[in-house]
Amino acid sequence: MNTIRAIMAAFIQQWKTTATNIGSVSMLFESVPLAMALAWMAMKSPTPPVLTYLLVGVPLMAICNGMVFRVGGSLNGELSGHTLDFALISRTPLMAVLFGKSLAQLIFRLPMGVLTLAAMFIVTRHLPEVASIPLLLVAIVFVCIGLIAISLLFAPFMVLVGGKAGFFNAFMPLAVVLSGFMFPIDRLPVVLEEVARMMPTSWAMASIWQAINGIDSAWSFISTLLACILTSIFLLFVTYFMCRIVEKKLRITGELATY
Amino acid sequence: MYNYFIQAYSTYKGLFYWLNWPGYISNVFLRPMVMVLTYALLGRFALNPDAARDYALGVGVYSMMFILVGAISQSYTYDRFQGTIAFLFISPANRMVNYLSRMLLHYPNALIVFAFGFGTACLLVDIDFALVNWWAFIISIVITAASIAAFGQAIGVFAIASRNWMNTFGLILGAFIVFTGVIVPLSAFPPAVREICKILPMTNGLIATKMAFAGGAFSNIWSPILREALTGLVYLGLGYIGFRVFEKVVKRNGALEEDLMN
Repeated sequence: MNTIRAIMAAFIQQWKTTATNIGSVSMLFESVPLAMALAWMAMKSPTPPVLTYLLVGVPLMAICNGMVFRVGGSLNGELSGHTLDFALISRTPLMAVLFGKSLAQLIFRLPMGVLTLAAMFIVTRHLPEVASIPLLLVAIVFVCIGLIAISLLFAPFMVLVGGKAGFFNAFMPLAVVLSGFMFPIDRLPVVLEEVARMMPTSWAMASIWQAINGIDSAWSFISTLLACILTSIFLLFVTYFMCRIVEKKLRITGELATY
Repeated sequence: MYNYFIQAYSTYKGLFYWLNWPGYISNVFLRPMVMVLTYALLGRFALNPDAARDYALGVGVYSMMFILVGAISQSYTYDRFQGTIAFLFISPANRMVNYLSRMLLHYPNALIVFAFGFGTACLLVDIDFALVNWWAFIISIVITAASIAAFGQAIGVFAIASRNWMNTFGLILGAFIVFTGVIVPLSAFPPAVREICKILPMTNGLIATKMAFAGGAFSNIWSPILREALTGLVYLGLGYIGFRVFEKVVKRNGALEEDLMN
């Protein structure tokens, strides 16, 4: 119960911080020009499912970019703002605080996905042609779960690399491409494809691709969702251990107040 | 000349926040590799292998824009944010020298970015080099990078005045991916919009780069290269005028250290 209360408090804090920041609000529109350019490209594609894939994937890409950047920087922001001190002296698990924050970021960025889809619709005048809309919605929920798992991973990672400016600039597009938001991951070189299989979002996008084209069997759809859940759990474990390392590092080195 | 290099070094070292190993490796090596690979594969997925080559070139050049405009505009904003520009304004230092010094050390980063981005595309995506006019290709890349750096100077002045480089940068990134021919070819726009696109830096340079890559003769390529160079000079001039006007305005209004919310 206390953990849920902590998650809610972190959610509200993050929501208020984000919603009152003009930079965050303007970020909602940032993906619109790129989405329009990609919509033009999709429209020129001779393969109709490509258009649908991009109409679904590009809004998710927009949400992913915002989440990885903001959630990834949140722990480091707490550290430099000296508000992390209170989280560390309380009994609240750091993961609970981060989870609340990432949930707020996800919900704040959902309109960004809708805006991006609207921009793409203006260019293409097409709505996604999907074989099964209920399955698509289920798959999108799993993409959101995967997005939370990925963005959480970046929060302690950012602290462990010393919170260096500009560090995220390569990881945001990398997270997008490995998630398969722009194209299915089987188009990647073999090594990157194997790395992409560790990403829950790549499995969720595989289920989206199935929902678009029609599923071969219920099991193939369910198995991709299960893989998404398993990889999410794996990433959450990695994040948990990284948070422990961050906490130990801060306590042992006494860097908390001298950061 | 000594002063020029000292100022180039100090603005680069002190005001370029991505100049730390994680940030530098991420921006100069990894990001262009990921971006070019992504768009080359996307071109192949959505369209055809020729599109993959075009997007690899376009995004390679676009990556130079990312590092140059991002780096130069942030250094202007931080110069004000850190209060260091006040020392310039109270000194008799030559403003033109100071202005020109601000892009010098960022320029090589752009060439490294292009080399890494395009090199990745060559290694991982099949691209045919049989026809490339190498001299024209290299000249067009060098001129385009210089022109983008000049544009970065003009945007830097805008960023220092608005005290926020990230929003300006985000806006520029979005506009440039649409209007410079990186993804959408200029022929897709109405003639009037096409002409507006050609007054943006990078547009003519990208035309020249693509022509050189397809084996175009230098006699055909020099025109867009020259136009790109002239575009860069115009932006450099506009940026300098803006830089001087900014100094005059903040001195007259005492607004240099004024908080944004006031």
